[in-house]
Amino acid sequence: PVLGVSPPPPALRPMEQVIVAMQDPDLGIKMKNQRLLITVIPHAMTGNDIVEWLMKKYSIMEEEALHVGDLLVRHGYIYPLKEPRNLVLRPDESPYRFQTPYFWSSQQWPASELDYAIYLTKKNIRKQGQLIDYEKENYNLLHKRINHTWDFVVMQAKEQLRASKQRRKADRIVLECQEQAYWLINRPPVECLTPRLSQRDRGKQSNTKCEHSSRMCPITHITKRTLVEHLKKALGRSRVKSSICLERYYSEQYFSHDPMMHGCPPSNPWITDDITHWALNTNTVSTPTKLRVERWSFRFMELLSDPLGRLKFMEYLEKEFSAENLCFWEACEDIRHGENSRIPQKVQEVYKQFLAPGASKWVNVDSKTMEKTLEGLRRPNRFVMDDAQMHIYFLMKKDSYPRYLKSDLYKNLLVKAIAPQETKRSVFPFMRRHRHSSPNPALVDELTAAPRGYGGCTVSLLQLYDSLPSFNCS
Amino acid sequence: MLEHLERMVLLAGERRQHECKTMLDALNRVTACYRHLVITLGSTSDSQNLREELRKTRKKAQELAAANRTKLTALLKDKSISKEDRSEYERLWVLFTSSMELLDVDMKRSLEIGQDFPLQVPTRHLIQTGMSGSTTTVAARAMSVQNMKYEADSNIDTADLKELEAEIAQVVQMMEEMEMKVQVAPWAVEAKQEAGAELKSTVSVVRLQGDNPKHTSCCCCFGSFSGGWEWWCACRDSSVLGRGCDRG
Repeated sequence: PVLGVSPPPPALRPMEQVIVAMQDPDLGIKMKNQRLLITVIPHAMTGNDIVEWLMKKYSIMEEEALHVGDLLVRHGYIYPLKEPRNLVLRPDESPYRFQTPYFWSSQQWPASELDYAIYLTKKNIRKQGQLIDYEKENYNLLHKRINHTWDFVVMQAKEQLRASKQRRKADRIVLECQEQAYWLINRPPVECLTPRLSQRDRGKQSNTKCEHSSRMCPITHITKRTLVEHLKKALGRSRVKSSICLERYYSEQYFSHDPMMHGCPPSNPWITDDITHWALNTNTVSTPTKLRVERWSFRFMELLSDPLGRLKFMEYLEKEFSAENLCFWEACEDIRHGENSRIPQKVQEVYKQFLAPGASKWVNVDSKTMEKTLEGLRRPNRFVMDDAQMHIYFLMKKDSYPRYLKSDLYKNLLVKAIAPQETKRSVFPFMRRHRHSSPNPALVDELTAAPRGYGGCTVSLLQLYDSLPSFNCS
Repeated sequence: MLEHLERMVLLAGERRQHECKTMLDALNRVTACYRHLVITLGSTSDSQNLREELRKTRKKAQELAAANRTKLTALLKDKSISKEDRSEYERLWVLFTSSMELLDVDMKRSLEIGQDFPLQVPTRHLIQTGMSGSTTTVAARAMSVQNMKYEADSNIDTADLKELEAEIAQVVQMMEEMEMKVQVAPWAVEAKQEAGAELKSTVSVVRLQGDNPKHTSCCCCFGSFSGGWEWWCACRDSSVLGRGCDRG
């Protein structure tokens, strides 16, 4: 720097400039001494002093001065000496002191977890384990979060305490107040925001706690409000159903069930003339195939649209004494897809069996749906049972279906299911088996019973004509 | 003969660990003292002496940092050490990097505040924070000397800043190199101390300089202004009006 020329004024933020202006030996605030028992600590001022100085310096009204002063306190440039947790500016004889630049709020130097941990550990030592609730909570949280460096936290805390022992008592007290003020700003108590409380407790407890903390620390109020707004916004966000997000999963799921992509075990009847595949998958087969049983677990609709699946599901529900749900669903399906003329009769039967009070197979439909259905019963149509059917469908889907998939019945089916081996394919996949033309059905009837079995007749036409007793073209 | 050799190796290992820990303790001590000094910057107890103390402490910190780094890097690169030893060195490494983290931030802050509050200006605008004593004993503790000797020029507050900038750059570079060369996963380290471990050895920390331990645990005993008020003791959380403080 050039001699004789003072460096340019520091580029401090506006609040900091106000604080610096307050330090002016002539035009700044007049400081008083704070007298403790035997210690005297200089540089204290009253709330009144601050307000009056602001009014004079900036030619503003008392209200505005109070507001500005309050801002200075809330941002940690000035801290109260009497009620440290009450970060407001009182325009009376309450004492305040300036905060040291190291502890000024700074976006560039946000309060770090490591420092907070060291502070709490120091406090823990000084108070011999008597930390306040929220500080204890934070201490434990930090112990978990930065556990890998906890030894350093303890080491550094002890050393910082030893270093401060080197200062005179007055300075030590000031230092402790400074640190406390800094952490009250940067880690304010947030008891109100604990979501752990149950609905009942929240009503009772939060009232008192909120009162307490609003009296003690107004900054918590602001934080709470922003939190509530944030949560409200979060509620409004749209959520996509997972079934839609997972649409890609659908094709992956069905890949091994697709005859085109994966073939049908044991072989595709249309190609090999072997109907085993169909035989294994009829509605009345006693042991279903593995693929089929697996498919039932993909979607509830898969289970319901397979008659065998429905049958097995019904067996399970009978054990659970909730078979009436499925019966009701099936009856409703029957109404939907059945003959028009029989609808009123069917509807009446369904009502008597499932919906009437005291019915033998009473199903649990909610009151709103029941009302609507009863209304519709007066003029029965194909779709009158739709709401009730939907209700029961979802009931089964959410309740019985997942349990069925976890049940022993289903698991046994999976274990016992047949997994037919793929028949060996011929070298040339396009080579067709010998086809024989089947005999004229008209002619076959007259003769002895045609040979059974699929795969073509073995009798040649010539032989046939020959065997005819009197077939002569005349 | 083999037993003797094994013992020698073990002892050498222990000695190495002990050396490391001693050096780390020293670095830790200097870091704490440096933090203490930086807090005083910009306040009315800021002075030329403080700036010199800062500079000397800083240099000492850098020496220790370099020494620690060299030693630990060499140890961690050594493939022949046992698994327990290695995990211990990794733990020491994490302690070392945490110390450097604090030092790095404090150095940068001291540059910033030092620039904002030069001492040789006509209108002093240092913040009246209530601190009045000197920090010479803190610095002496950092330097491990009986008394501090002040020999700097009167323009140290501005002259030192350039050096400080250069040193910060050095530290940053060193930390980057460290991260590249040494493969230690900090999160994998488990602390030896449990929560509240610091309370067990409270006695040694508190009873320094013959202070009354009870009194030091009370951090906020507020008394009257010269204008005359009530006594307030805010040691507990709610302010309680009491007839003076019963501590000391």
